[in-house]
Amino acid sequence: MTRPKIFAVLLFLTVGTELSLGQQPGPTPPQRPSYFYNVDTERRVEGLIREVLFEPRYEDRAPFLIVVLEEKNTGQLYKAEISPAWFFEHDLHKGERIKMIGSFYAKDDEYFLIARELQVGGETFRLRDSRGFPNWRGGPTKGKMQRRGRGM
Amino acid sequence: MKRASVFLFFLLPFAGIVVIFSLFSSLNRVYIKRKTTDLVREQLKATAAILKVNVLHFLEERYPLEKILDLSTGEEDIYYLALLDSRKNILVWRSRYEGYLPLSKEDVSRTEPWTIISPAGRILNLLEPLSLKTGELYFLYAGYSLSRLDEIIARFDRNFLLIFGFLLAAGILFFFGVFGLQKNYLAKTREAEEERKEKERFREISAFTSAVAHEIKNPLNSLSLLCELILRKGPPEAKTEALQAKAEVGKISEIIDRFSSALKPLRLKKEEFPLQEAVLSARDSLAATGLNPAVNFRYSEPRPITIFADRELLIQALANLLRNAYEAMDKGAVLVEVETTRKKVLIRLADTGKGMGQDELDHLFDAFFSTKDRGMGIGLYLAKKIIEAHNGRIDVRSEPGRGTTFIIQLPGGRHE
Repeated sequence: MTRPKIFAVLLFLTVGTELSLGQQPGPTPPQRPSYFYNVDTERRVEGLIREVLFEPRYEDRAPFLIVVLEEKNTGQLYKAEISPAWFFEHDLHKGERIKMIGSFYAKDDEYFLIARELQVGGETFRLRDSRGFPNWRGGPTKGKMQRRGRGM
Repeated sequence: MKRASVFLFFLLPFAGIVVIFSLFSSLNRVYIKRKTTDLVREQLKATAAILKVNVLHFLEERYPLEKILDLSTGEEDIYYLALLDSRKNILVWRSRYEGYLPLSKEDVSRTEPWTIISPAGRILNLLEPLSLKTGELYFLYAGYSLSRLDEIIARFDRNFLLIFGFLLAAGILFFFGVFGLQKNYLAKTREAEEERKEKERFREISAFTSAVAHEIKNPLNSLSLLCELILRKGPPEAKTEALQAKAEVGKISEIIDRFSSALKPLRLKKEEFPLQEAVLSARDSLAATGLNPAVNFRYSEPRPITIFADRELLIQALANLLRNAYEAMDKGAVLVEVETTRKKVLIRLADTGKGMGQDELDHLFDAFFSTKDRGMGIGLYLAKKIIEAHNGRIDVRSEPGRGTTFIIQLPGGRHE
């Protein structure tokens, strides 16, 4: 039996089980927000750190380092997702100047960023590749240099 | 064969083989890569088609979109999956990597699968329309990992490099081997040619010397007899001159004999005898002609040794070497050390004389080469000839001002 066929059989078995759980009236809107790294909404923001947080962002993943950033020119606040806390070892401080390139999205009148590259304290950190692939791929066991995202 | 010929006959064909192998292998690699890629793509497209059927089924059955994705992302090769509405806005998505969904506005217009490169390897992207019976339109976006294909290609490249490296190394080794053999062969040929020329020259010299010796010896014999007659029957006042004349004739005769014996081919008459006896006989033969009393002679052997050789010739060879040693100094010592190894006898004949420079050493065993005023250049040549006739070898080490050592190696020999 070929692999696609096996996959199809397994999938239908799964479907059978799920069907017995009951049917919904129609396609429902997404229960989880679709905040992915969208290259089309990439923007550069420069400002000051107003707050540093740790929040769970992705299901079954380690908490992320989040920075609330106030844009220098407009005073606009952005909640910027940096990386898993273990990956980013540089200490960020309130009031510190920061430059960031990231994918922007807005929700409920709040502005958000998913950071790809940031400059802080004279250092540049690359957190994702140009299409948004996370540089912490491989988990916390990877080498320190890779963990810190340095090398620029 | 000249170097250029070696290059033409060995290096060029080898280079040709390497180039042909590389060419064929590259073409083959390109072909296999393309075929494998096509095959994997087809397989993934088939997998995607099944996924599409299933997702369509779920949509028709009005499953929640989140649940549809949860049900569909179990496949190991799927890196990310998304459902888009008819205007290609993303409704729901799942990704193995946090926030990674590389679908840009340029990609949404694609109708054919496309590949992107990520740190996790190449990813095959598909964007398939899903038309429901109700007329609603959705799009399914999926990213399939091509890492297994990449692994196959990488392994294939590694194997190619391995084989290529092996071929190159084997070829280089083979070439150097052939080159070495060729070099050896050329050296041996040159040596043989020089030897042939040397033999030819000696044959000519030998023939000439024999003829001269023969022509001189007859009148010399007559001259010797005449001197004898004058001694017996001549006036007493002529006896002193007659004796001198006879002695000079004897010297001329001896010189001719030495020349003749040096040029004649050697015929060995081997017998077993103590080596010490031969060394001492050689020394005694020199003593008869008068030895420098300021030079000490020492002989040393750990245990008595007998040797199977031509006694007379070996004595002659040793005498020539000893004469050379004695004549190398006004005072000092000549030391003869003898020892046996498993298969040969070693005779070291060392003097504390003036030693020799490299130029002298290079021609030391050449016939008619001598640095002495009265030397004929026969002694060491003859010594070497005798040792080599016994399948032995003679080497010399010398340093100006510090003396000379001759090392003779002769096969056989045993302790008494």
